Amino acid sequence: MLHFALRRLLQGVIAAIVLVSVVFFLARLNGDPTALLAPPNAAPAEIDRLRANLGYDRPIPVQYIAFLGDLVRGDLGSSTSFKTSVIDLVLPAMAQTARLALIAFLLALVAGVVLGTLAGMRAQSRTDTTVRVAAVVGQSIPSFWLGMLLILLFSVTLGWLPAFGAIGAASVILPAIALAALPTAAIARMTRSTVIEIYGKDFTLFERSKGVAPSVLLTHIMRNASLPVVTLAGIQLGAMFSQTIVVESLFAWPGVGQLAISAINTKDFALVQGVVIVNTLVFVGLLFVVDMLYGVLDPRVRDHEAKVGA
Amino acid sequence: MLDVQGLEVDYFSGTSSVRATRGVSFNVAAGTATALVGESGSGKSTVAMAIMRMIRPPTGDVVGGRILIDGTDVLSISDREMREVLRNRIGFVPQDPTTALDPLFPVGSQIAEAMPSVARGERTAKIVDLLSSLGIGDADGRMRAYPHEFSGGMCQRVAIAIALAGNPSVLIADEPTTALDVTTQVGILRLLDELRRERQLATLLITHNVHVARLLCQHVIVMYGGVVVESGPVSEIMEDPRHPYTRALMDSSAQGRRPREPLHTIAGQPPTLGDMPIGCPFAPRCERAHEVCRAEMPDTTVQGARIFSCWNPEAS
Amino acid sequence: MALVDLVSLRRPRARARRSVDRLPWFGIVVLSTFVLAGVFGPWMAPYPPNKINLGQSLLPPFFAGGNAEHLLGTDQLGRDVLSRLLSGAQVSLLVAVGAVMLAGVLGTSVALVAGYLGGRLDTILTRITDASMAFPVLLLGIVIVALYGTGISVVILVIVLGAWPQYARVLRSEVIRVRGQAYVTMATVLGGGARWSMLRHVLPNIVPTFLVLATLQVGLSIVAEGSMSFLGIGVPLPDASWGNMLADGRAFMRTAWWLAVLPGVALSLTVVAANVVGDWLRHFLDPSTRTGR
Repeated sequence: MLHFALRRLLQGVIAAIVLVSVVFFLARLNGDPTALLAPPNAAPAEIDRLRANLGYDRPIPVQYIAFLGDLVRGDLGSSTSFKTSVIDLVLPAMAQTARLALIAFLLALVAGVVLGTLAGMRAQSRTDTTVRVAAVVGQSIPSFWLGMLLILLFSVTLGWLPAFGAIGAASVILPAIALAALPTAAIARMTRSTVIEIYGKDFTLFERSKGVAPSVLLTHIMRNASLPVVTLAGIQLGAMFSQTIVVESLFAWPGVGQLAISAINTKDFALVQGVVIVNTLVFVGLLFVVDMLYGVLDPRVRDHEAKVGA
Repeated sequence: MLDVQGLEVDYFSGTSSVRATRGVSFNVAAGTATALVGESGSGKSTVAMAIMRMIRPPTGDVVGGRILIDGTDVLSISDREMREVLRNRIGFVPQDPTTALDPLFPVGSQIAEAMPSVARGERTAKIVDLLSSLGIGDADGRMRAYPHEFSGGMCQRVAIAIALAGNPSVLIADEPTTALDVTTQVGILRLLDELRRERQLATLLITHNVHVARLLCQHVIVMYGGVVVESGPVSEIMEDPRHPYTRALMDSSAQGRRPREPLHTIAGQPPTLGDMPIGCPFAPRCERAHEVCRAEMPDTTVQGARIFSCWNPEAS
Repeated sequence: MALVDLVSLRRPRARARRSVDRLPWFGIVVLSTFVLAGVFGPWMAPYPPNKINLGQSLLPPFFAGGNAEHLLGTDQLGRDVLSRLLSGAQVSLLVAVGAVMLAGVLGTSVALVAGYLGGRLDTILTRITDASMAFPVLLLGIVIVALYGTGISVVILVIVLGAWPQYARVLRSEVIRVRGQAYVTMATVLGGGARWSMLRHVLPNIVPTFLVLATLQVGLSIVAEGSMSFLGIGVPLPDASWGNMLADGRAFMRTAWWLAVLPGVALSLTVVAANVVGDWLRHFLDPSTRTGR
C-alpha cells in the first residue's frame, strides 16, 4: 500500500511540475508580459526599466529556475493591481472557492449516489425514468443560468435566500445548488448504470441465493459501485473547480474566480498566473486523494501494482 | 425435499413475453441426486432460478405451477420468508466459482453472511470447521484472504461451504464443474456426492454432461424446448431411452465409441424461445416425427418408474 | 426498500428488440431548429440584432403583456430579443461546429498515432493527453484571453484545448481494439506492408464512436461558449451571444425577467437536444454491450 501511495505521489508531483511549467511558457509565448503591465503611454525606456525590475529581461532558463524556486518558497510575485503579494490574495480566495466547491461536491455526491442507486435498483420503473430525465436536464443546463433561475425564484420572488456574497451560512446554499447540478446528474447516471451492471453480475446472484438481508446486498452492490463512481466523482470535483468561476461571478462569491476575472481586467498578470498555478496544484492534489481512495476500496489495484510494478 | 409441479415461467422482452418452461414437474427426494439435463436454451437453468425465486419483473415471472420445498410452496410466500428459505433450506452451487464471490470482500465474511443466526463469537470456529471439512487447509488464514487469491477449485469449495452454511435440505448445483479444469472436476464431484450422502441433501444437478449425470445421480430429467421430455431412474433412461431426443443425446455422447467412428450429432438447432414450434418442440429435428407430433404437444406417458412425452417413442 | 430483482445468469435466446424504433424526435426537432436558426437566422430576424432603439426598451414578450412587434420583447437598449437570440444561435452554431471539428481532428490524429503505432510514442502521447485533461479549461481560457484578447476564434481555441483530450483518450482505445481485430486478417492478406491501408480500415471503424463523442461535445461547446461570454471573455458585446445576453440580463432579473430567462431557455433546450440525440446515438450504435438504457 505504501509503495502504491509513493508511486502516485511521485506521479502527482511530476504532473504538477509539468503543469506549472506549461503556464510559465504559455505566458512567455508572446514575448514577455511587460508590455501588458506597463501603463499605455509608457516610453520604451520606461518599459525597459520595468522589464529589468520585474526580471523579465533575464534569459528564459534563468527565469524558469527562479520561477520554480520562488514557487517552492511560496512566492508567487506581487499583484500590480492590489499592491500586495499574490499569495496573500490567492490563498484566502482559494479558501472561499474550496468551501463552495466542497459543499457543492458533497451535495452532488450524496444526491447523485442516492438517486442513481434508486434508479438502478428499480430499473425501468417510473422512478428510474424520472431520474434519467432529470439527469439529462441537469447535465444540459448551464450552471450560471440555473443560478439565475434559483435567484429569481428564491431571492427575487420568495425572498428566502441571499443572492450574493459569502456572508452568513445561508449564502452558500444557492451557489452550491447551482454548482452541484451537473455533477449530481453525472454521478447519478454513472451510479445507475454501474448498479445495473453489478446487479447483473454472478456474485450478486450468489449473494441473493444466500438469502441475505437487503442491507447486506446493498452493501455489496455499493462497495462494488464505489470504484467507478469515485473515479468519476474525482473528475467532477476537478471540473467543478473550473465551474466555480462562473458561479462565483454570478453570485459575487469572493473566490479565485472573481480574483482571476478582476486580474484579467486590470491586466495583473502575476495574479492571473498565481491563480492558475494554485488552482492546478489543488487539482493535482485532489487526483492524488482520489487515487488513494481507489487503492483503499479495491484490494486488487494495490496488489496488482505491487506485483507488476505497473 | 424438492417438489416442482407444472412450472410455467415467462420472460419479458419489451411488451411481449415468451414461455421459457411449460408444465415442468418432478421431485427430488432427500438423500438422492437428480440430474436436470439439456442443451442451452432448454430451460434447465430457468427451472433452477425459478426454484430460488430469482425470476422477477421486469425480466420475467413465474406464471403457473407450484414449487414445494419441504412442503412449503415458495411461490406463495413473502420476500422475507423466501429469504429465510434461501438461508436455511436451499444451498446453491454456482457454475463459475471465481466470479461468484465478491472480489472486494474477504472470503470469510462472505461465508459468515450465510450463517446470520450463528452468534458472532462462534462464527469463526464454525467457518474454520466448514472449510477444513471441505478440504481447505489452513482455514484460519484462508478466511481472511480475498477471492482472487484462490484457485478455481478452492473457490468452488468456498462456494460449497457457503451453500452448506445454513444446513440446507436442498442443494441446487448449476453445472458446478463446467468452469473447472478436468482434474479439479473429479474432486468437486466426489465432494458433492459425499455431501449428499452425509447430509441427506435432495440434490438437483443441472448439467449438459450425461456422464456426470450418470456418475452422480440416481434420477435424470431430460429437458428440451422448455418441456420435460423424459425422466426416470438414470440407468434405465440412459440405457434404454424412449424419447428420440434422449436417444440422440445418449448416442452423441462419445462414451463407448470406438476410435475412428464418426461422432453422432443431432442435425439442426434447438428452437429459440420466441420461435417455439406448435406441438412437440423436438419434432423439427426428430427422425421419428409424424404429422401429429407437429400439430399437438404429446401427452405424458407413465411407464413404471419413468415418464416420457412422445407420440412415437423408441421401442424397448 | 423494495428491491426489484433481475436475473443475471443465462438469459434465454429470445432477442430483445433494439430501440431503433424509438427515435429521439424531440432532440432531432430542436437540433434542426437550432441549425436552421444558426444558418438562416440573421436573414430571418425581424430586426437587426444590434440596432438600438431606446424608445422601445424593456418591452416584455408577447405572452407577458407585450405586442406582436417584438415577439420576445426588447432589452434595455431597445434591441429585439428574438433577433438577438437568432444571432446568438449563429454564434453557438459556429463555435460548436468549429470546436468539434478542430478538437475532433486533433484528438483523432493523436488517437490514431498513439493507438496505431504504439510503443514509446504512445506512452508519451498518452501522458500528454492525461495531463491535458487535468487543465482547468475555463481558467486557462482566462489566461489566454488575457494574452490574446476576446473573440470567437479565441473561444474556439480554448474549447478545443479543453476538448481534444476526450477524443484522444476514447478513440485511442477504439483504435487499439479495431487494430486488434483487423490486424490478423490484413497482415496475412496483404503481406505486412499494409500499414497505410490499415489506416484506411481503422478510421472508418472508429467513426461511430467519434460521432457519439462529437454530438455530446456539441452540447459542452455551447455551454462553454455561453460560460465564457457570460464572464466577459467570450464573444464581446454588442454582438449577441446567448452567454453575454444572460450576463446583461442579470441586472434586470427583477424588472425584466425575460432578459434573464429566454436566452437561457434557448441555450438549455439546445444542449438538452444535443445530449438526448448523443445518448440515443450511443445506444443505437452500441446496443449489445450497453448495460441499462
